[in-house]
Amino acid sequence: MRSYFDDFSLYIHIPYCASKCAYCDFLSFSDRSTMRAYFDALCAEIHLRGKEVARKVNSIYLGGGTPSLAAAYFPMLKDAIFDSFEVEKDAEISAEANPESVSDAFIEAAQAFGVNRVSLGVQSLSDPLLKRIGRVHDRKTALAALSRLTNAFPSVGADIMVGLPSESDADVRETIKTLCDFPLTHLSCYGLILEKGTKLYAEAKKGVFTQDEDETANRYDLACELLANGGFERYEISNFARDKKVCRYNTSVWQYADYLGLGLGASSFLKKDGGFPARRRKNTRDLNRYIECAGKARPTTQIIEHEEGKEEFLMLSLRLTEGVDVLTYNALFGGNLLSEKQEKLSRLAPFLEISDRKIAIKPEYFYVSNSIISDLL
Amino acid sequence: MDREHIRNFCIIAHIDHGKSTLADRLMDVTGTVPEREAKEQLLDNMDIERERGITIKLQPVRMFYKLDGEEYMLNLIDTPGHVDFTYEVSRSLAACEGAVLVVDATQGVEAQTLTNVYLAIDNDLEVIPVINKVDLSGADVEGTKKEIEDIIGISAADAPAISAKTGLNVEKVLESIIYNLPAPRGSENAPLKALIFDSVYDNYKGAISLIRVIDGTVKVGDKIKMFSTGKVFDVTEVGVFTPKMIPTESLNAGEVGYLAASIKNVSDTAVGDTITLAEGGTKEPFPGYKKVKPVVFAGIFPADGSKYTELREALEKLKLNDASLFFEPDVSAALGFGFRCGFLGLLHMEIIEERLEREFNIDLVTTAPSVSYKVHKYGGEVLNVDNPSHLPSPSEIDYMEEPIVRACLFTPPEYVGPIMELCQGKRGVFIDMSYVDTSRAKLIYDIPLAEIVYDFFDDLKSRTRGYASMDYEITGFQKSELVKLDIMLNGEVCDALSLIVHKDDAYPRGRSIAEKLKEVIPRQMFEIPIQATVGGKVIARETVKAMRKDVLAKCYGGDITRKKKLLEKQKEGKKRMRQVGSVSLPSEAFMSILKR
Repeated sequence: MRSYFDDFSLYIHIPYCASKCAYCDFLSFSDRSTMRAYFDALCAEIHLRGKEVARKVNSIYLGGGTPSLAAAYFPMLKDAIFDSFEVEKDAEISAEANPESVSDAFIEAAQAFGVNRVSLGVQSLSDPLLKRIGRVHDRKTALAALSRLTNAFPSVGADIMVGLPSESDADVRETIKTLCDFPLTHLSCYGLILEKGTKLYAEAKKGVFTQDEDETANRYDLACELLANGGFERYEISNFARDKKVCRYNTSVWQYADYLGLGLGASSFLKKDGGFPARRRKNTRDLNRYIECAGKARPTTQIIEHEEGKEEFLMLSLRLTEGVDVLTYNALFGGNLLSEKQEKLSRLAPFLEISDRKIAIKPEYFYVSNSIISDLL
Repeated sequence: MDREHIRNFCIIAHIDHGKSTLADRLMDVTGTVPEREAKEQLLDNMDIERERGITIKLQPVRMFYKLDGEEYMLNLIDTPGHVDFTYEVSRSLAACEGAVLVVDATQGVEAQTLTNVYLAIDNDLEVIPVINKVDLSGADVEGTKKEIEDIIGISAADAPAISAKTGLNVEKVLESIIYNLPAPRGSENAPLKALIFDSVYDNYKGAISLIRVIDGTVKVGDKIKMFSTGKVFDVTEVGVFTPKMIPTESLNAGEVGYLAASIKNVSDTAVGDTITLAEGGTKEPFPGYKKVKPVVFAGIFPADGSKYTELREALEKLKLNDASLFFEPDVSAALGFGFRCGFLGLLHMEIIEERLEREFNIDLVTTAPSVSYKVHKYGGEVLNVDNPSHLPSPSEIDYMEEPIVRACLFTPPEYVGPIMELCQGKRGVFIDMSYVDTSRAKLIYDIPLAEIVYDFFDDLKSRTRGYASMDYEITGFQKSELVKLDIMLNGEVCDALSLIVHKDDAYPRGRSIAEKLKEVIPRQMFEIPIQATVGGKVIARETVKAMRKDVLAKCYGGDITRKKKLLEKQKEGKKRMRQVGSVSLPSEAFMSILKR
């Protein structure tokens, strides 16, 4: 896999959704009356940050929320970004979309923006399951959206989930097999996490359904197998790509590259002259404040020193199938990873793939990656 | 004060029958403690004692009371009320001429009442019964008197009916003490003979002996000798308890007080030992001295291995005040460095554990309590083994013996069946049963101490809804078919979980431990087989499946801080883990197994 360690990316947060899903704890709102004011503030922030950071942009990611709902604002967003930043010619420009808002207007606006990669929130192709988790689309809408997107964009991915309440193996099998028939380049497969404050969390607390660790893991194994059969290679704990078409933006984050987050609640990570102390910034999560300050609300900043940087680097890159790039680590931190961690590495050897260039978690132990990573740090 | 006007007495009672309340009230009536200084149950000065309503440490107090125009000195020696401390109780009793027996009018005579009364009678004490809690609606004064007469066999016709709580008739107790208890005998002119009935440690004065002077006089500057060891000390201070320690010039025959002699070690003021003068001392010690021997043993380890030094210092501090606490360094593959400790009984063990955790703030992992076995090896060698991991291999053992207790149980008749079933299940041998009246039966069983130490009390309590009472004494050793039960985790023996059990118990115990472990061992990166084995043979097996949950986590740019916190928490959690071979066990898992 290519190294995107030297990349610089923009993440743009668009916090509007048609409605809140039962599992979602992301920062998003279904009241769209503030959208106009929000985009004004967002563009103001983009102009402001553009003056502070003069780096060529290698990838842009429009995340949400549901960016496809905001197609009307794409032209002004594009102008703001391209006025403020120099964007590489063949930059990856990704947009998240949900099936119900994959309209002609969205496709046209996205194409005009330069979007060359769309990630569609499918979650499942079973109508009862979609209903159960509070999605507003159904199977038919999802399939139609996939057809249109794959005709319109060079790279299209889908997000799915396993471990949903009342889900069966057959649901997962059918969903993945159907998706594999489309010319998708990318697939993210997430296990359901019950996040505090969500509807499903409350239901689980009340005992409406239970989540079984083994059942979910078995189903995840099944998903991996079906995806492999469909030509998808697992390049990260929960991400799969055909023909090495990984998501450049996300990969660069896992490879510890810099990124600038713009919009409500967005995070940034910027090293200092390619080193430390680095800064991790987080924008306000208060929508009214963000709008009132026209994007100038002061973000909270955390300073990441050299030693903490080492931990973050390992924690992030161990999520990748290829693992830690030892040479990049040594160059960045001026040490020798293999000798620094010699003792821990030998203890964890059964779980790891270790060479003088790479340290990676064996995929069969992705299920215990947190333990392995926390043991290694 | 002349001996005719001295009365030395103690109060004996079953737990909760009102001993400490009566002691407080006696002090009130005699004006011994000014009202504002009086705390509830003043004699029990340790938190744990106060919380449990039981007395462990003996705190004597001197009171004065005028009767018929004459002033009397009344020395109250409080006694611990638990079977673990029977020897200490007997020495306190030996320091007195009489005992006030407190019986709760709503409860009647209980097992412990009986044990302590017999101890008092064995020590030739005059016993005065007192019926307490007569203010309660359920009080049956006449019935209780009859029980005292029937069960104990002493007259209760004149027993004062009192309420220690309200103070009703408490002065009658004082009168009865003065009229009915004998004055101390002994001679001031005979050579010094003083009985040590307790000791306390003071940072400035060293180990202080609490004494009853039998014969002679002791004063500051005397050269004294401890009879059991022959060690000689110079007396630096003598005094009495009011209950504060007040120095006096001397202590004379018949009196109760304390003695300090720059003694560094409480073990040099052994309870039951006799103090005499180094020159011209008595030839005969006060009878009944015994060296205290622990009967219950357990390994105590710090939950956080780095607190080993703190634990050692804490144990040393407790030992200063508690000569009956034994400890020596121990090391366990699973629990690291700690101490093998010996206790007088289960309560004693719990008290030490609680004090370590509470007063010294050290989280502990304590192994299952064990008794001391006599292991007869081929060739005649006999070993005392109280730590299962020190048991020789079965091929070297000819036979083993275990300590046996004679247990006395009092119960309402409807629980006789369940108790018999319980005792039978605990390898008990029936000795005797009698009905003390229509409402209570008395059962006598011989039971291995190991069974009592395991879970007998909990079981007894639940089977009799708390209505049965029990007391016991160790009577000897008995040959028994014992085996070592080992627990293996992922193929490695976890020494901290090994037990010596009767061969018939090995299977159920092994199975229950394996099942519990399966519940408390967190799932890890690999599958963990749990096996219970006896002599290398697997008798129970469970498996903790490998953990498989992390794939659920996704990680976006914005999640990094949160993810980092999660990993840090996980890392922090691992610090409290114990390593058994490749398996990580949280200290809490050990505790939940070991605490049952």
